[in-house]
Order: sequence, then C-alpha cells, then structure tokens
Amino acid sequence: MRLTKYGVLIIFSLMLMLSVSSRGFSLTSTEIESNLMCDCGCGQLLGTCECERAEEMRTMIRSMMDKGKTKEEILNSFVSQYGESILAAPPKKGFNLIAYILPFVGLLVGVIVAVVVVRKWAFSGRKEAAAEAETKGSGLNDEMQKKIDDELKKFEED
Amino acid sequence: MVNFGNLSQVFAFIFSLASMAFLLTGLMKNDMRFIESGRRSLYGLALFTTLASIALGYLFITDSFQVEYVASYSDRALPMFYKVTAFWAGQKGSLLFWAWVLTVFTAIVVRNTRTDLKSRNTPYIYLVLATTASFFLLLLTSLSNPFALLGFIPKDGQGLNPMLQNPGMIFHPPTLFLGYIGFTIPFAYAVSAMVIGKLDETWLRKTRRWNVLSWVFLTIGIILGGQWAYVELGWGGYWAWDPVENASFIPWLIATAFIHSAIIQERRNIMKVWNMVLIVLTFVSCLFGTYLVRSGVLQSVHDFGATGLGGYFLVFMIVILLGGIYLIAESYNDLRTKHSLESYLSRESTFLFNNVLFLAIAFSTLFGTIFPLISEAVTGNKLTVSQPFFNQVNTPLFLILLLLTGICPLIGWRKASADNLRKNFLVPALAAVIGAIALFIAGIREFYPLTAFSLSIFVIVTIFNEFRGGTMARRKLTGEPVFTAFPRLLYKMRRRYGGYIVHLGVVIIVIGITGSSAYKLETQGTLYKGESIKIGDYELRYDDLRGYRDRNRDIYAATLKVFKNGKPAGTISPERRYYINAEKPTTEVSLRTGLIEDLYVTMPGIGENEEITLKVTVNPLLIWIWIGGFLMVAGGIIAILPNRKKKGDYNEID
Repeated sequence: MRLTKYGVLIIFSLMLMLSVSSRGFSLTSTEIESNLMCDCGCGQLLGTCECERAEEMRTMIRSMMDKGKTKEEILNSFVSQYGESILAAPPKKGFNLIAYILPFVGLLVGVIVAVVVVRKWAFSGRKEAAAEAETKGSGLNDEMQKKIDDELKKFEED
Repeated sequence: MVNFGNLSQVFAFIFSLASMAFLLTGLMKNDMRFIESGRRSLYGLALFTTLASIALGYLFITDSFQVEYVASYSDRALPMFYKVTAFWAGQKGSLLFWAWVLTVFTAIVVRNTRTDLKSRNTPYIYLVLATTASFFLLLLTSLSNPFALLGFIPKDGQGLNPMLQNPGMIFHPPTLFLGYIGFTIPFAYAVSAMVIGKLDETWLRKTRRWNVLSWVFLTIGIILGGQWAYVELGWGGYWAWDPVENASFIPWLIATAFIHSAIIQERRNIMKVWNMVLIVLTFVSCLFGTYLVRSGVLQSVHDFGATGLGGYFLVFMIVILLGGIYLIAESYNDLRTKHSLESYLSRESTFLFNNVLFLAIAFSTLFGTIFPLISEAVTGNKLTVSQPFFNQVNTPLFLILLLLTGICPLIGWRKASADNLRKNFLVPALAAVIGAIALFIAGIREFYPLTAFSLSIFVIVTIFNEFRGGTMARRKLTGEPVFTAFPRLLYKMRRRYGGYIVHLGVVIIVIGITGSSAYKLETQGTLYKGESIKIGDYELRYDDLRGYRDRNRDIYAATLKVFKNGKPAGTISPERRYYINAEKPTTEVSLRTGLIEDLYVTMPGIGENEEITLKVTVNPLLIWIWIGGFLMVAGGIIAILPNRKKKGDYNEID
C-alpha cells in the first residue's frame, strides 16, 4: 500500500519536474523555423521544406532577428500575418490547453485505475493465500517453504 | 494483360464472397462440406490476387501507359528497379498489394490449420479473413481499380516522385503493410475465440509468432521510413510526427502493449478482457493509418489526397470497432477470471503500468494528430499540431517508460521481496547515479539529455546483469566457456533474451535520439569556389561543381574538401538533381556517417555564377538509432525462432 503510494508519487513528481524544465538553448533561426510550418501547403515544418516560399519565410525570420526581435515577437508577427495555423504547435491557451493537458490526465486516470486494479488483485491474492494456509491446517514447515521458494526462484530464472 | 489483371481481381473478389458464403452456410447447417469448400476458396482467392499482382507488375515493366495507374507512377526512363517498386507508390497499387499479402497470409493460415478444420473456431477465423479480403477487393474492383484505362496511350508516363526513387522506398511501405496486415491474423483468432466462447490463452499461443512477426515488420517499416527520410528528404531529421508517421506509430505502441500483456495472460491466465481490447484496438489503429492517407482529412506529406475511399475505410473501421466492443461485451462474463496477485510488487504489476504508459503515449499521439480536426469543429479555428507539440508532450512519457523498461526485469514474477529488490536495484541505480555525475561534469547539464542518458545507463546495466547472470548460471551448470554458454543461453531461452535484446535496442535508440536532437549543430551559407564554411570541428571548402546526365536525371554535384580540426578528412559531394518529368529539383544528401557523429550536407541552391547554398548539419550519435533499430528487429526475430528439435513448433504460426 505504502509502496504503491510512493510509486505514484515518484512517477508524478518526475513528470512534474520534466514538464517544468526547459532546455534554455540560445535563439537560432533554426529554432524559430522548427516552430513554424511552411506556408506553401506542403504540410512540412519550415525548417524541412525547400520551396521558394520557405526561403522567403526564412529571409523574413533572418531580417527580424537582425532587427533584434525576440522569438515570441517573431512568432507573433507570423501569427498576425498568417493565422495560428502557421505555428507548428498550438499556443498554450484557451481550448488548446486540452491538447497539452489531456494526455497527462489520461495517464493519471490510467495509473489510478492500474493502482486500484493491482490493489484489488493483491488483496484477493492475499485472501487466497490465507485461505489456502487455513485449509492446510498446520501450514508449511520452514524446510518445505524453503524448497518452494527455491523452486519458484528456478521457475523465475526460466 | 490488362484484361487478365482485371479478370483476376474480379475472380479474387468472387472467391472471397464465395468463401464467405460457403463458410456461413457450413456454420449454419453444421455441414463440413461447405466449410471445406469455403476453405478451398481461400486458396483460390490467394491465387487470383497473386495473378492480379503479377499482371500489374508486368504492366509496369512493359511501360503500359494506357493504364492510368502505370502512367501516373512510371515513365520510360525510370530504372527497372523502381518500375517494380512503383507498384505500391500510389493508392491503387498499394491496395492491391494489401489484398495480395492478406490473401497469401490467409492461405498460410489455411494450410497450417488444415488438420484443425473440425475445430469450431477455425471456420470463424477463415470468415474474418475472407471478409477483410472482400472489403479490399470490393474497393479494388469498383472504386480504385489499378487496371483502369486512360482511353488513350500517352507517349510517356508522368514518372515516379523523385523522393520515392530511393532504395529505402523498396522496403519501407511493404514492411509497414506487412505489419498492418499481419495483425489481421491475431484479430481473426480473437474474434473467433470470442464467438465460440473458447476464451483461454490458446488463441494467444497460436498467434504469438504472428503478433511478434507483425510487430517486427512494423518496427522495420518505421525504422526504414526514418532512415529514408534522413537520407532522402534533406532536412537532417528522421521523424517529423507527421500524421501518417503517427498513424504507423500508434498501432506499434498498442501492439507493443499487447505483446507485453499477452505474456501475463499466458503465464498467469489473467487480463483476458484487456488482451481482447488491445488486439481490437491494434487492428483498428492499423486501419486508421490507411484511412488517414486515403481520406485527405489531414494534411500530410504522405497522403494520397482525397481519394474518395476515406469514407469506406471509416465505415469499415467503425464496424470493426463496434463489432469488437459488442463481442467483448457479450463475452465479458466468460472472459472475467478471478484475478489475484501475490504482491503489489511483482513483474505483473509493472507490466500493467507499462501498458498504461504505452496507451498514454498512443493516446497523446492520436489526440495530437486529430486535434486540428477537433479544434476546427469546436472553435472553427484550424490549427497545426506538429513536431514541437509531440516532443513536448511525449518526451516525459517516454522517459517514464524508459525507467520502467529498466525496473521491470529487476522485479520478479509473482512476488518480489525487499531483499531481492535491494540486491537487484543497487548496481544499476549506482551506475546511473555515477553516470549522471560523470555526464554532468562532462558538460551535459540540460535536464532532458541528462535524464535520458542516466536512465539509459540504468537500463543497460539491468539488461547486462540479466545476460551475465544467465550466462554464469549456465556456465556453472554445464561447464561451458562463456562464449559458448552465452549463445546457447540466447537460443535456449530465446523468448526471454530476445525480449531483452529488443529492450537494449530501444535504449540505444534513445541514446541516438537524445544525442542527435539535443546536440545537433546546423549552419547554412552561400559559397563561391574556394570559400569555406565552418561547423563544430569541421571546415568544408568548396572546390568544384560538375554537371552530367545519369539515366532519368541531370545531376549537379559539388565537391567539397573536408577538414576536421584542420586536418584533411576526404571529400563530400552533395548533389542537386533535376528529374525528367519532375516539377522541382531535388537535393541529394551527402553523408559521412560515424559512430560518434554524422556530417550531413545538402545543397538547396546553385546560383548563376556557380555559387552554392549549403546546409550543413552535424548529428551526434545518430547512427545509434539505426543500430538500435537493427537490435530491436534482431531481438524480435530471436524471440520467435522455431525450435530445431521439435518440428511441431513450426505450426505455431497457424
């Protein structure tokens, strides 16, 4: 019981740590390109498309970077020009938050269900073992228990 | 030959319908003669799809451009090699390929179950397979006929997309298809088990090799797709979370969860309902990928546009899903068993959490893939969900999964004692901590790479311990030297150690992905002859540009002298290719690959004065992705190797 609680705690602390961490790399045109889609209709990231339109967009990025604009400013400029669909990932606001949160909610629900299921199965397993011991009356002596443990160990190794 | 192909397709369709009719009649009348006829019709079905496939292949080889499909995907100048592979380059041919493989797989099942004909579940297995084949043949003979004529004979065809003229394209689509199609067999066995109420683990045992083999094919398909994207598309990456890539990854994730939970059912006779759910989801998700590329609902670099077939696939998918849910609900009481575990802490419970994670990743991938549609329906705003989103959401999930990959083998089946845990965890955990400190000192300080590398150390040490322990135990028992004991152990317990090799492959892939994504270097520039570009330890000097004609393309190749740390290190030669019949020129990557890093050069442009635009990337550790992929496939194959001594084991694929 305690172990299960700790397990869940560890998994979610880890998840939390991972979600708040950031890589903190310096701004490059590549980083901006990897956050934008090409406008030519190819469905590719700007950084991967080689069409003329992509080249025009790259030139726009370089020019904005030369003017000292930040990543957010450059991305916002593209959004105001082409709409939100130009972004490679939906902005984290409003309805879009569902896309970011729901997978983790799904995982949380899955883990809770799994914990409940494991607890239930382990409980019925313990009950079974207790009932078995009761029907056998005297139970197993130490020597027999050791033999069974050894056999189980061998079985596991197989 | 066109008529021959057309007729073969029609006959195949007739045989599939006849088989269904015979089998249904036989089941209703309980008459073995009808069932036998239904069984034999399945051989006829395989024969005629084979003939239709041969006909289409022949039409490609003989440049029969009066056939619309051939004219769309081939031309006279196309090398013979690619004329054959153009078979599956488009929608119509890939559907025929699907039908052909499915019917051949069906024939294998029919042959392997010839002695089980009286068994109640066999006709149902045949029925599911015949029905699935009928669906594909219905589309082929009515809506998507690869033998349809243009009504005139063009002088030449439109040619094959230059990006598809790569050896990777020979194997990438067919192996993916083999994976998708392969899962039809376990699905058919599962349906049959539910219909007749024989719900023990027999269906899982009989389909284990089909499951793993299909998984192996999916893995090969995905890895080859990545490799093809890397060497052909010229953007320096291998995975873009494109909707169609996702559509191949989702069934892979669910199938992996299924393979793990099937082990629990085989060992402990629990999780019967769950396994039924997983196999239905695996099969439906295989169809989902096919639906995506043919529906035009999502923008993808892979799709065939709106082909008009999307709706049919959607209906088929819904029927399968609802049918599956109905059967599971109907069999629920019989599928329910008394579940019991001896402890919270057992390998069974870690497998359960591993299933949760696989499904969570599958869900997040699916949800992200279809989110643009959901968003448009709800807010009227169509969004794009691409690489940055998936990296952000899935990376933490993958890291937890990686941790579980290491933990699982440390926890024994049934019940793990505290002592046992301490003993097993100590060395891998210590190795991971020491590794993390060493990496930190070495300058790897970003959270994701440091975590991924440390967890990889943890898992590698765990797996190594498993191999070492097993080899030493065998050595002690048999007196064999290590180099004999290890391969023999591997073969004798191939299912277990094959699995560990797959895990090792996964970890190695994680190392490759982490290195190549977190520490990638990129630069771009325009050079005149004699000028250089620098990146990391490399300097590339532009020496020469030459143009020449090679078969169906004009090639312009630049020669660049490479210097590493100031010392000459050979030459590299990126190309710009102008294919006949292609609208746009393409870049041909020049790649110098090594165990530490790849030097990846493309030439996106050539100016009037022979100045060249270069895009240069240094991808650390990238080769390990392919090595890991190879190990995963090898491990999967080892796990299903038949037993030499028992001939009967070959029949496990039935």
